[in-house]
Amino acid sequence: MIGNFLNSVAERRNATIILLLALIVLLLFPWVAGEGGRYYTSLLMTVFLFATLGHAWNLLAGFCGLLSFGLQVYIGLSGFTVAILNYYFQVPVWFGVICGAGVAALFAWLLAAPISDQSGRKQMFAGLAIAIVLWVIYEIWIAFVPGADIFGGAYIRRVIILLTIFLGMLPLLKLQGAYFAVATWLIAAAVTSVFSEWRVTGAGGGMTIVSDTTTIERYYVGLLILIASTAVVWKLLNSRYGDALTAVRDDEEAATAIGIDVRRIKSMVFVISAPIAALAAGLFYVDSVTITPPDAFHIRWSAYVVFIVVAGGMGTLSGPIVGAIAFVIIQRFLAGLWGGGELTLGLASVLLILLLPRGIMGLVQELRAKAVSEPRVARKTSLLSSSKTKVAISTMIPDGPGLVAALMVPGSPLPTLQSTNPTWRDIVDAFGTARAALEAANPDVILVYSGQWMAVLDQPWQTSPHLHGTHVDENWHEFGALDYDFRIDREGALACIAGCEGIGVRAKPVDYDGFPIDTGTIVANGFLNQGLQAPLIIASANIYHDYETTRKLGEMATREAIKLGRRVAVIGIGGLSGSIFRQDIDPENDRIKSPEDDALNRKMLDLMKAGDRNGIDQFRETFVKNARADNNFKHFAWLQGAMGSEWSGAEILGYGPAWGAGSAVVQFHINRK
Amino acid sequence: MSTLVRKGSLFSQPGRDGKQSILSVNGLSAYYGELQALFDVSFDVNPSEVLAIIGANGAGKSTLLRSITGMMNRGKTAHIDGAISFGGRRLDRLSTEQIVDAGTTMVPEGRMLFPRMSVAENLLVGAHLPKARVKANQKLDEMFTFFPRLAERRNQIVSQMSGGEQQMVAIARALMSEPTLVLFDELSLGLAPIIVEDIYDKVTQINKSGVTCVVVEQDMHRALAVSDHVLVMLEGRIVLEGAPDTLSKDDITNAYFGSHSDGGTQ
Amino acid sequence: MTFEENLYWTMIDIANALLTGTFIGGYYAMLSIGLALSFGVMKLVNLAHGDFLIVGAYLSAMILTVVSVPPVLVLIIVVPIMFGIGYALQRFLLNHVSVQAMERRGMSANFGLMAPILVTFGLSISISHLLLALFASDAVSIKNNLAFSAIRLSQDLSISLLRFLFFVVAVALLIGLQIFLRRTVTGRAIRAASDNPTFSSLMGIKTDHIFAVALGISLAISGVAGFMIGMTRTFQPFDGPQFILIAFGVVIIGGMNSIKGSLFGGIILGIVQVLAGTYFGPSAQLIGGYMLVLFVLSFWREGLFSK
Repeated sequence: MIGNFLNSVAERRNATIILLLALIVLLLFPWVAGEGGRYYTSLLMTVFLFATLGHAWNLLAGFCGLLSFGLQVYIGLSGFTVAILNYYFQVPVWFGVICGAGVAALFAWLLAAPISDQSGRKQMFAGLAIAIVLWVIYEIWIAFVPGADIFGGAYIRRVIILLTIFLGMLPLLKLQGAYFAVATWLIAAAVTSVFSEWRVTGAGGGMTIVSDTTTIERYYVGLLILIASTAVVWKLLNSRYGDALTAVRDDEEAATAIGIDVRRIKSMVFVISAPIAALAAGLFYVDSVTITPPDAFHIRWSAYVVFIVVAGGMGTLSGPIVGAIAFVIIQRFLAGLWGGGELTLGLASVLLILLLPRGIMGLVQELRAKAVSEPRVARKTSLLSSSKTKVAISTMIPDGPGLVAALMVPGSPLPTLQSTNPTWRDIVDAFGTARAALEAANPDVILVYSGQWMAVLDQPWQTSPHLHGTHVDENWHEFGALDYDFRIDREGALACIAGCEGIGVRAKPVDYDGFPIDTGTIVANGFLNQGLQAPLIIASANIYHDYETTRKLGEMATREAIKLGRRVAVIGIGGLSGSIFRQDIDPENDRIKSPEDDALNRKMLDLMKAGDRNGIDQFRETFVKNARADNNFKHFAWLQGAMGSEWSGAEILGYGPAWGAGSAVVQFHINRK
Repeated sequence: MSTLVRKGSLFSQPGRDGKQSILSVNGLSAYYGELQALFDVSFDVNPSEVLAIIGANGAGKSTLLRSITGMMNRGKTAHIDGAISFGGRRLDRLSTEQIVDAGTTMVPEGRMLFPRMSVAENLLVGAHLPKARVKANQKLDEMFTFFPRLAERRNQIVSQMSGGEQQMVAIARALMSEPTLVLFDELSLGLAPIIVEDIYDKVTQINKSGVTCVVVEQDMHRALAVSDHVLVMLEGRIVLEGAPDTLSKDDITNAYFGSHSDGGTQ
Repeated sequence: MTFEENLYWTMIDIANALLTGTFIGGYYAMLSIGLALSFGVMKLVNLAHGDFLIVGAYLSAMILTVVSVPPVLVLIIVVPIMFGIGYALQRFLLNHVSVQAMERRGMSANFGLMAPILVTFGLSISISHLLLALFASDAVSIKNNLAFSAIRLSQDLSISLLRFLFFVVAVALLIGLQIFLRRTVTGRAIRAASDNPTFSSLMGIKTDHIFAVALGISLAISGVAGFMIGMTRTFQPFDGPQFILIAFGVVIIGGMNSIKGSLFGGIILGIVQVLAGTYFGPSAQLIGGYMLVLFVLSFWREGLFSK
């Protein structure tokens, strides 16, 4: 232990010393190299520049799984911003470079914006309407004051505005994998064709950037940009977003399951990466003086960064830097040898993914790990909880006793009868996610309240330590024989029974062999608890209890279980709107029975998602009455009691119909005080 | 008489009760990455019998079937150790399609039909192997006689069928390749009791026609009723095996839930 | 001009746009069927698709410089060669970087999804530069006497004969492909493997081989499409991206999973482009097409024609 610790301190100190030395060498390099070494100074600047571009792309692809082939958009926008400011307004180039970064950030924000809103389409249409009104006003203004047309032509003006509106509407970050990749490429192509037509930017002929910067000056700017962008990525990885980023990088689904707002993280990173790329691009065009649209917006830029990041190692901090060195070596030296620099780059990218998918840094890490660690002993753990998820979560969920998870799930196993049926698919998938989340929380006990275990007298609690048998649902015999096999936390259940006295509820233990078990409990347990096999505390649903009493029950049961030192997960089993179809339907046509029910359900889910506790309390009675909510929605009362104020919003893992009724799988975000 | 499982040897040839076994598993261990799912599992399947494997969820039953059908030879993440021989041929190094070609197939858990295809198309895909392909149409007619319900629905898209009907398609599809050994994984999952009854009737008939059957089942009573020999698995090990009539109910229950203290492989 | 004349020319413009757009749609469908097929079956987003179209075009043109036969006959050689390239590519490269293969090697799920896309992107760069090294950057075309023939429908309305023929070929090919996928053993195996690669191997299907056949077919069709490119216009080594953007536009509109959709996608894209060109000038064609695709992506991510 101590040896390890000392080692790591020593290693860190070594690393710091090496970094400092490297920095000193780089700072002194232009002076040492002198006039004769200008070529190498310039070459190093190219390395800085491409490493910075690599950082920008690595942030997206390496950490967020966003495969972009549209990086050239920022390069072109930034380059032309510098050129336009320089040519028309004689703005100093370095100031222009900063403006270029601003333009790129704005453009990225435009692309990322539609997903940051909560209510989706409604706001999209509102935004569209505003944009069109503004546009019309602008067109009228121009009709009277022609000088207000900064675009220099009616056609190009309309194309630019229309394209901007379209890009604003496009929910780019909601697109997955290949769709995202293709969309970024299309956006870049669309912007290219605008710039090729635009007289302001030389209509395809391009522009020249006039400045009196020296090689040494550009070298230091490059070094500064690289250090700054490396610092930004490092800071991001070591901030509170760091764990979330790593989790998203490894497995987006698992990250969602543990309550990471993947979309927000993605849009944040997306907007941060744009100005990073833009700074490098600005420097590039200050250095190369001329800029043309076909060159600035060329897909080749994407090819470069793909090689740089893949060669260096995706999703690592040092990968882009190592990759940029390899890139410059291949492009400048190998190209000189046989003229096929880019062919080599393309083939090298292919071979790297085939043979060395973790890149050079991955190889280095692997070799190091091999040298250090002993062979690992196989652990015996539940096969069903992937170790990957565990790692990501351990940082998110506190250790020790307390409330660790809260879930609302429907009690009907209907969706699983035809798990491929598209109308039920959402719920089936959601159960899987919920299970991963529950396993990640690693509870000692699960408090279960199912609206289907109905009691009339008193408040029964299961206390038989081992419940097993076969159950056939009274109403839905299509479910078949439901085997169940539960362990009960008898100690916890007895504590709850004792605790009932304190809240004025008469309770009693149930300990009979073959005592009926309800479908909901079996379903929830079957779906969520198979891998964990955590013991349960099962409370009945007395049909005469009101909402408030059930809430108190939930609060009391949670308190008692925590008092016993347990990590507690709470599950409320029941649906949303309660109206079901009375006739036979084709499952593929299953839907929420009425649009009103659907609207009510969605409103309730939105409130849960937002964590609006007051809103829920105000809306609840309307909901129960108008949506004829399942079991008067008391399963949520149980959850509300259990969570108290220790929750902030929820993830709606799935929502869909179950024979007309509304059902949802909801995972609440617990934040313990 | 109940027997705790013997320690497997890679080279034991004769099967159970002195008979020549059709499938012989010796010292099989299976891993998902760092997690070990099977620990040194050994058993034999005699020709033309029904062997049932029971155990709670997570006991390793499905992993065992996946190992036999070559679905665990997946490189770094999932791999197996040990020997699996089928009619004298080593299966453990073959790919799934070669194993099926050798005459072993599986009716997978969750049926895994091709959802966008019709009943007939699903069955025809089942007869993909060259040797089965030549008499695919004849086999198709046989299957429709065997499952009259499927004949009525031969052109229906399978994703629109009930769970029981889908299970029949899955069984018929497996039989299209003319296997000598069929592994059935959790046939009763999600089906109404009366349909499960039907399905197991069919399994018995299939067995009577000379096909060796291995049935993995969570429903202990069902498994005991249909089988000639039972294995009970717990936490990746076989903890009990014997003919159903020689095993006491308590022994099986104890083995199933792992509540007896010395249950292990030794 | 009188009002009647005005009306007449407006109608002619619209009729012309619809007609030309529709028949361009057949050509666009040909450019995209291969892409839709490889996505539908292998979930492979082949970013080198555009470059393979150009490879098909170069192959056709090069063979014709050696032998002098009616141009269409080169397909007898081009199609098998392209099939072979596709088969080998999938068998020896892409099968080893698929999502499943990457997972088997212990890479993260995210990387698994990216690997095939990155590899085909690398291929795209390599192919275009290889073509440059072999053929230099001069514009090439396939000489033929059909390029300027037209079918006259009325005095002011006509369609290009080539485009008409391409449309017929596209429709015939789509029908043929449907029959192949439904009725033949290999076709059914392709569908099974695309539905569930793991469990189709339990049917005795060699998925590695079946996927290779599917990419072979995809590239064979691209060979025909490349030939069509050469028949109608000149091309250069770096024209691939331009065509893949069209092909992507078509499959996004038609639905990534739908092979039939590529005909409808092609027709819609064709009509919108021609309309944009008619009313806003030739440069609006391209940007009009891009905007249409972005618009479709905003609202119908699964495409207009997929279920």
